[in-house]
Amino acid sequence: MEAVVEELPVILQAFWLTVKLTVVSGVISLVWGTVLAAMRVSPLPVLRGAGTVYVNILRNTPLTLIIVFCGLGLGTVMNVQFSADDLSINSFWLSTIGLSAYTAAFVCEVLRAGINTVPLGQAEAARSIGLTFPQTLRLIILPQAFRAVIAPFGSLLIALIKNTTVAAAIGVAEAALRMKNLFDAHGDAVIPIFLGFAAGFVVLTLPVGLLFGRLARRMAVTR
Amino acid sequence: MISLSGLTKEFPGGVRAIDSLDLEIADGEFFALLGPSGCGKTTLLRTIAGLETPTSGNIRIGAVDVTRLPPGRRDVAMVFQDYALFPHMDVTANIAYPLRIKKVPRAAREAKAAETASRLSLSELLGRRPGQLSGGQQQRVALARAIASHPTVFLFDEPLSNLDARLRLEARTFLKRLQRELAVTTVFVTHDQGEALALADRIAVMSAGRIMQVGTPSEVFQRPANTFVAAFIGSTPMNLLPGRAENGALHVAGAVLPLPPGVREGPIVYGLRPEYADLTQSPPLGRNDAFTGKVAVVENLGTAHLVTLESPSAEANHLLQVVVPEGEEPGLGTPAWVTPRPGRALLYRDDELLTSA
Ligand SMILES: Nc1ncnc2c1ncn2[C@@H]1O[C@H](COP(=O)(O)OP(=O)(O)OP(=O)(O)O)[C@@H](O)[C@H]1O
Ligand SMILES: [Mg+2]
Repeated sequence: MEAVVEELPVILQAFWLTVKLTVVSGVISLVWGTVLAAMRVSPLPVLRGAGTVYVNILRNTPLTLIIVFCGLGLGTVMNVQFSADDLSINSFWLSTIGLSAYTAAFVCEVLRAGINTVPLGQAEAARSIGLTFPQTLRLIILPQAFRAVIAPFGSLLIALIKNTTVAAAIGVAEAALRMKNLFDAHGDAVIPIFLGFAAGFVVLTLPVGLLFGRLARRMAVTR
Repeated sequence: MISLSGLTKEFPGGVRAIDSLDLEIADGEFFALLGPSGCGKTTLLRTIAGLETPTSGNIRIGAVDVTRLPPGRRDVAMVFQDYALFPHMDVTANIAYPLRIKKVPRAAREAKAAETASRLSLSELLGRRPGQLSGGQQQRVALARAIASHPTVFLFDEPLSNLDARLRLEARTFLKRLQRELAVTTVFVTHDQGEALALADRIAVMSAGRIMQVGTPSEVFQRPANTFVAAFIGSTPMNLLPGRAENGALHVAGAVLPLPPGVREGPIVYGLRPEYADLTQSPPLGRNDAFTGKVAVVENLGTAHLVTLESPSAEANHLLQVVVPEGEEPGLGTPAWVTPRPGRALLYRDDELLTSA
């Protein structure tokens, strides 16, 4: 137990990085996933095809592979750099790219399910008023689709919080990597340290579930 | 004016929902598209709205050929059968939305929304979402959304069908008055002949993608151009009995009736509305132009009764229906005589109206 108290600053720092990874990848994957969903429902076959291919590849590849590809493939081989001297900034952004690219595929599919809950008549009403396809999507369809999928978005966010641990694979000092380091430093306190980190994740994920559940009920569209 | 020429819509798979249709609708007219389910009414309305592209033919609104224009550029406003209000916006936003798309400044469009809402008694509801409104209120919001955008044409798809029977009557009267006031050309779809007769200036009766007859409610009711229209219009279906014009008389279901001048000999179909005949329980004195039979069914219509007679004629066993005033309904199984009112029966040959008899 002393080990946990003693290392509390390190643990908090680790979770702070977890939170940063989650928030940044969350925002990027929300935007990218929405673009993908728009592609998949668009009237242009090329865009539809591209969206489908992307989603099927990313959704069916293990996240670890994607993160390692970002770290080694993008970072080392293709030499994508976000900072010339700070390696931790580099690995943070490379893993963010991987997490966002992966999560966006799920966001896209959830959102597409949401779009399917919006009756066809809504799009026709919009069209007959004079909205173009992009306007119809942005102003009429997506606002209703988002409201319909708030609860599944909560599950996606919880999954994303837990998935950030995969960034440890390319040396991002988030919670999982720090935990492993602490195990090495405090061989006699593995269980308390483990419980400390586990509790940390519960503190992050539990409120997300509750919050999104409540939000889903509040924002639900009544027809 | 709306004019359709040679309009055809074929869906993939070969369904001809509209079949080379010609039609002209005058400015300010309240025009009904009437017909049984699946005859192509909605498809025609959606094609005028621009939501469907015709396979061939032209649509003109005023002087403009709108056949290839997108819906937003046709200056029409459609009210959908399920209203299609935007559930994530309040009533004001819903009504003002078409104006927002037309880039009307906020103050002007909100004023217009408020004015339209008050005209449709919606002022109390402006802040509510559609989900918090009753069916009748939703219907009025949908109308308000169409009215506020000031189109040259209104298109209504079964605007009253989602209302309960009582509300429907109220809304019918309201809709008729509103259309008179606004004097905007209105095309509405219905499968309810009563609604079409009550509301429309003119009616097009449709069947299988074609127009069977166009006319005023009284023309369509009193002189149906063919037996399809005859059978479709009227709250109780018209009697259509096979008969023959022979030796200067009409022989129909055992009765011998005077032959109107100008009708050649040969087979005919004799049409008689149940309202246009009188039932007696003894043979009418001094005449032989009555149908006779046994009372098989008596149905209560509220202020009258619908009596069905089985007339055992020589050729076949025909059924004949008559509307009988309250209190004069005959007993089941008793014999009765039916005298058609002069000039009220219609004669068809080759499914075309010949004359009245
Ligand atoms: N999108 C479509 N694809 C294929 N066939 C269609 C489509 N829409 C309508 N149809 C067919 O076209 C015909 C006319 O349909 P329409 O909806 O216009 O009928 P309606 O007169 O409005 O009937 P109702 O009174 O039931 O609404 C029907 O046979 C229908 O099955
Ligand atoms: Mg229809």
